[in-house]
Amino acid sequence: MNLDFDVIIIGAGMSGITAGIRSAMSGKRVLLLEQQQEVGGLNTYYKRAERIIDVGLHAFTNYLPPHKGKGALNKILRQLRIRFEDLKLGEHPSSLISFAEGGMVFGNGPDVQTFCESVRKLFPEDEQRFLSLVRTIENYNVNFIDAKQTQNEKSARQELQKILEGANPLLLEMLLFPCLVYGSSWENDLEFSQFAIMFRALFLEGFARPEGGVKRLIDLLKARFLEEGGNLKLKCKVLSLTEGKAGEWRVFSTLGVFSAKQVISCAGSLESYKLIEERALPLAQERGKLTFTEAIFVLPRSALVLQNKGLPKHSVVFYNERPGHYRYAAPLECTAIDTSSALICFPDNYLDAQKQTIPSEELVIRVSLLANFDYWEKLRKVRADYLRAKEYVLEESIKLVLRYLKREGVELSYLEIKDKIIFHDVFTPWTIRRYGGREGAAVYGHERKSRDGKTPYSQLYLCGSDQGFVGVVGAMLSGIAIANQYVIKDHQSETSI
Amino acid sequence: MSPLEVRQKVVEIIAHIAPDEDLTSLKDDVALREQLELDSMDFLDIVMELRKKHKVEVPPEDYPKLATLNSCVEYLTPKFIS
Repeated sequence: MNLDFDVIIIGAGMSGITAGIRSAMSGKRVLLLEQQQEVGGLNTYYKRAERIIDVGLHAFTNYLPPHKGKGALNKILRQLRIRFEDLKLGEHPSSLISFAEGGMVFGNGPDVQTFCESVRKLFPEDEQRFLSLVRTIENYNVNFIDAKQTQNEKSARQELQKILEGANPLLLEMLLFPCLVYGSSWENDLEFSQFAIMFRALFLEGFARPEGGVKRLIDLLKARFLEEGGNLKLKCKVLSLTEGKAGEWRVFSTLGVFSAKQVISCAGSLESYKLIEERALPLAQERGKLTFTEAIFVLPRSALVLQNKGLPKHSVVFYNERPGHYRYAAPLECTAIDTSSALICFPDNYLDAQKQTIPSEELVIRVSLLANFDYWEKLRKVRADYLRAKEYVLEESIKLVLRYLKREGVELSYLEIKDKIIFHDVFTPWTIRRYGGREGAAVYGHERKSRDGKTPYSQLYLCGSDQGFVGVVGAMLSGIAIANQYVIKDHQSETSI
Repeated sequence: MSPLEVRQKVVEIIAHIAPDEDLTSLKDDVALREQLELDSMDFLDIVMELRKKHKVEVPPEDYPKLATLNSCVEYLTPKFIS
C-alpha cells in the first residue's frame, strides 16, 4: 500500500508538536496539521504595538535550577534534544496561595522550606502532617501510560483526608487550589495520581518562565520538528477522518486528503471521534465543565508602586475569598464568571525572564476567572451583550487584583487604576472554543481520560489533555509518551530494562 | 566492526542522547542505569538511534541486553557485522 505518511498528527498543540518531533526523530514520515497560523494550541501569543502578549502559558512547571538537580522538564527537553539553556528560563521568586484566613508562600523545590514555614505559621499543629504528605508524594511513582490507572481512579480529596487525617480542613483546601486550577477536568476534585503529578510539578519542582515568554518555546519546538524532517501544514483544518479497507487512515482537510498508517490527535477525544462519525454524542453530559476567562492588562509600573510597599513580588497568586473553602466548578447558571476566586499572574516577576516582551517601565497582569461556558455561548449571539460582558470581566478582574493588593496592605481605587491601563484584552470561553475547537471550551479536556491514549479505533491515539496530562509540561510529556509507545516501539511490550 | 568500535558507537549514542552526562569513567560491567541518569525513555532512544544511524534493529524483547556496556557490545557486535 502506498501511503502519503507513516503518522498524521491532528493539532499542533504542545502535545501534538512533541508527538510530531518524537515520531520524526524515529525516522517516520510525519505530517502535522494545525488549523491556526501558529503552533502551540491554547498556549500562544500575539503582537500588539511594541508588546508580545502571551495567552495560556503562565510558566513551565517541573523546573529545578541546574545546581539543585533535574526536574521532569529536563527529561522532556532531553527527549526532544532541546538544550535546557536555550529556553533561558527564569525561575519564580515565590508564589502565594491567598485565602481570607491567611496566605501560604511557596518557592521552587526540591526542598519545601518556604512552604513549610508558611504551613507552620498558619497551621502550627499540622506541620508534621504536611511533611508526611510531601514524603508520600516524593515516593509516589506514576506510571505514565497505563490503562489500569483509568480503572483505578481515586479521589485526591479522599486520599488527602486520609494522609492529612486530623489536620485543619483549610490546609487541604489551600493545597488543592493550585493543583485543581492548573489542571483538573473534574469539578472540586482531581484524580489522586494527577494530584501527585501536580504537587510534584508545582511544589517539589517549580515554576520558570522562558525569556520572551511562550514564543521562545514555540519557535524552538517548531524548529526541532522541521529539522527532523517533519511536514507542517498551518491554517489546515481537518474536516473528517475515514478508515480505509486496508486499515489505513484518510484525513480530509481544507488543504487536501492525506493517508497514513497511524493518526495521533491532540484535538480532544469526542472532538476527534466526531471527525469519524457524526453520531449524536451526549456532549452536554460528557464534556468537561471547566473553562476560564482571561483578562490581560498592562499598567505603568509607577501605577502600582505605592505607600513604600513596592511592586507585588509573587509571580502567581491563587486568590480565594470564599470562607473556609475554594470552589473549583463552573459558575452557577446565568452567571458569566466566578468573582470569588482568581488565578493572578504577574509574568514580569520571574527572575531574569520576560525582559524583551514589553517596555521595561510597564507591568503585565493576567487574571483568570472560572467561567460558565453555556452562558457565554448564549451571550455571543448578541454582539452588544457579548462586548458588555467582556467589559464586565475586565472590570471584575481589576477589582479582584485590587482586593488582593488590599490584603497585601496596598489600597488603590478602581478608577485610578482603570485610567492608567495602557493596553487590555479579554479572552472568553467563546474565544477558546473558537480558537481551539474544544467542546465547551474545556481547557483541561473531558472528565473521562484515556490514560493509555487508546481510542475505540485501531491506530488512532489521543495525546494531550484527553490522554490525561495537563499543563504545558504535562502536554509535552503526553505527546512524547504516546509517540514513544505507539510510533517508536513497533510492538507493544511490557519489557523494560 | 570490532567490539571496541561497537562500544565507541554506543557511547557516542549515549553522549548524543544525554549531552549533560559525564561518560569518561563509565564502567563496562555495571548497569548503565546505575551510573547515569537514564530511564526507559532514554533506552528507547538508544534503540532508536541504533536503527537510525546504524540500521541495527533491537526488538523490545531484547532491550534487557542493553543493560551494561559489556552486554551491549556482546549483543550488538554480530548485528553490526551482518
